[in-house]
Amino acid sequence: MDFSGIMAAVGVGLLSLVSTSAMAQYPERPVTVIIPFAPGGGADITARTIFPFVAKHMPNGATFVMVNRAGGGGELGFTEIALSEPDGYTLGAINTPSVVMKPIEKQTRFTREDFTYVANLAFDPSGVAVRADSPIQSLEQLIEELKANPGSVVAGTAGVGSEDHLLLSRLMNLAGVEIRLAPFGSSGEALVALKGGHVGITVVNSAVSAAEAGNIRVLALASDRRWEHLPDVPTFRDLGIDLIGGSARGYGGPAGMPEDVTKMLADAFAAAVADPEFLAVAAEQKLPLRYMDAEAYRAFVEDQHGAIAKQWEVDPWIK
Amino acid sequence: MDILSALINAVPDILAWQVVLAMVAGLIGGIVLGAIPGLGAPMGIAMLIPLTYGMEPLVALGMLAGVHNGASFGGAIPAVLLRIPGTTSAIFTTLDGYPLAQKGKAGAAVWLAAVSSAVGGVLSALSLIILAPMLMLVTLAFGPSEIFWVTVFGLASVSILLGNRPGKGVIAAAVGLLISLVGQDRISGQERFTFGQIELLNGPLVVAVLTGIYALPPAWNMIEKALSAKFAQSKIEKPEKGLWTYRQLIPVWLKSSLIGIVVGVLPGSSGGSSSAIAYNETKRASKHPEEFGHGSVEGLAAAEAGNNADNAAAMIPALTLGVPGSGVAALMLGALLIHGLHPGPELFQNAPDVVYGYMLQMLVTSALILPFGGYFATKIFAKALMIPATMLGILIIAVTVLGIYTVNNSMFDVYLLLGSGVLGYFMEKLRYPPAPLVLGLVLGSVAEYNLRLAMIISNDDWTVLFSRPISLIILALIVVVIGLPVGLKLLAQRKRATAR
Repeated sequence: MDFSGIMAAVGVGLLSLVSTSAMAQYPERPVTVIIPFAPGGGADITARTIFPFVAKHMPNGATFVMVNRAGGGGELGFTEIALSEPDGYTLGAINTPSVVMKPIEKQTRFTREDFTYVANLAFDPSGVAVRADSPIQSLEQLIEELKANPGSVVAGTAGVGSEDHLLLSRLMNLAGVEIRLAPFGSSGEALVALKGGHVGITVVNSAVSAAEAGNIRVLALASDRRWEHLPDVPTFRDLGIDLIGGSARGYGGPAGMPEDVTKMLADAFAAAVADPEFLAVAAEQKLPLRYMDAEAYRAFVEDQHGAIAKQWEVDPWIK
Repeated sequence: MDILSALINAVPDILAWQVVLAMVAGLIGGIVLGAIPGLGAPMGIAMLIPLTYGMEPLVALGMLAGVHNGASFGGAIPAVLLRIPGTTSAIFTTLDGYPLAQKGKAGAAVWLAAVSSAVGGVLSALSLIILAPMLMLVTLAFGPSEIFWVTVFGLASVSILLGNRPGKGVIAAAVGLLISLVGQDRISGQERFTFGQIELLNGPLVVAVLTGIYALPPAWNMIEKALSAKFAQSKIEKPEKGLWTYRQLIPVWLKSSLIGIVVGVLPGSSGGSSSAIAYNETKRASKHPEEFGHGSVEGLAAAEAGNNADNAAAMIPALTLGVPGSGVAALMLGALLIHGLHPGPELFQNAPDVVYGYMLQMLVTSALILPFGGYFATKIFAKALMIPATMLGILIIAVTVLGIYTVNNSMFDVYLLLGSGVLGYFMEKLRYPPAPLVLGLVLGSVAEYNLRLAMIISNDDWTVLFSRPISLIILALIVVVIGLPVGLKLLAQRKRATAR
């Protein structure tokens, strides 16, 4: 081996030393967290609530900078997360069902396989609700009414391609009924339309169903278990309809992140969700916590993809 | 009365020194933000929300209330001094504020804008405090068909804006309507005219288009004319007395504030429309309509009272129903949620100290516009005029670009801004009025969408549009607003004919 060869070998050795020590130092600079939704929404608030606690449990004085990149129902932000450098310095909020719906309904520059999943924090099951003074008392009664008079009930949803819209489409197929869907701009507007008597039913998330207890009646929740804040409300499964749907709020980065970085982040998440201080904040905000580690979270996303892809084949929500 | 006692209980909370400091800092910061073209209340509040997370709710909300009211007024300062609306709602302030400044009355004009903003803001905050609990039922009655008619009313009010070039105004409004078609169709989910751009899925960013059309052409002009004498003339002196009297303006303030409050309360019809309607109504009712656009104190008072009056009012449906009456109100809802406060009647029961405290803060920060906006801000911004026009022009473009970039951290929006700036430049050269375009852009998609929603809900039964009392009232107003200019013109012709 000549001199330059030795130098090259030494250089490579040094470089690898440098790079391992750099990895051990992660994060050396602020980490960007892309939130594909507007400030103030559920995805935004959840991310801004958890990340200070993740930072607290990270070594090296990590800082996370939240960047909102709203647009196209999350598509813009998801694209950016998926296409970013997988070095651990760009992370993002990865919400289902939007992250699996978009690649199904159109040509996107990302699919669910373009992400590294770190941890899921919350699962917010959707519920079907009527106004408190509605004659419809139960889900069975709603379905009877719809079978007797198809299309007689109008549902206000958060918009075409929203979780609400999808949930009701799936309900129509599972129960064999027809509901007219009126896509409002947001679930808040749909709720007001319900309270004003302009529509007959709407889909609400857990925070709303708890806060609006006196004004609306939740007929059933699309969860695999009853919710502690509304113990009397049955799940669809209780009533024989296999319908699970809602928004899961988890975090990850682009596919191909270094394993030690992913592990460091996953450990910090696990520590953060067990932090009593965080749990107090989460309870105050009534965050529907559902911690899943990287494996469980990935499996959950696959599962959601399966259910939604099947729905698209039967009855696409965008025609 | 428990509302009264809740209010009194909230007073000591908002007088804590941290809260007072937050309100004042927010107000001054808001005025500066509002005065910088392209920035404004929505951006300031969006930037501050993450910072307020660790604060006490009333400190956070006090600061945000200050930014909200401060920014609404701050837009008037460059509107008067430079003919650049600092915020979109200050467009109508330029019409009379700038001519006043040209006549050497810039100081008095800014002071009048401050007084008018304070009056509008205070009345709006009072309406929030009094009406928030009561307005729930009225707002609930507004379904898609009613909102459709409200937006048609807004579009019909273009007829008043047209002035003596109706053809060009109608073309501008039609261009606005065309632009409003861009984006994903909210009923079918199909993409329209997006050319595969993800950034266009939600429609073009309205703030970027508005800022481009309104803020950039003056900056182009500044650079084009280099040190044009036109811009150097607006100097600030001590506000001179005698430009206006309280007796003359009190009716204008009251009417404009009322208009601002009503516009603020209605969801989906806010922003510049309150000052537009207030300005046009004042012009219609004025004894001296010919002065409007040439330095009318009534016009300036109407525009500023109207735009500050929709601030607190927009929070009425936001706090009670969770439906924001404006974009800023939507952000404020987010701020409330961060502090664990969910809107709705429960909010008034569970956290009365915060809700009533916040409502009082909207009142206090409105009143604080007088000392901090009138005197202090005017002094600071007088300095801005000593900057050479070329530099100021470049500075405006730079700050505007930066501001629009930060909305979504998107370069696409910057290109949209610059493109709109070019459009605005040619519109100005060819004497096309920008206001109808803006109304078409903002209201077009809302009108289309609510009409189609109403049709879905009624199963394509068109009579639903004409069968409800609120719809009929708005319909009558539309007939009046369209018929009025035509009727007045016919009347004038007949008079001339009989005189001959």
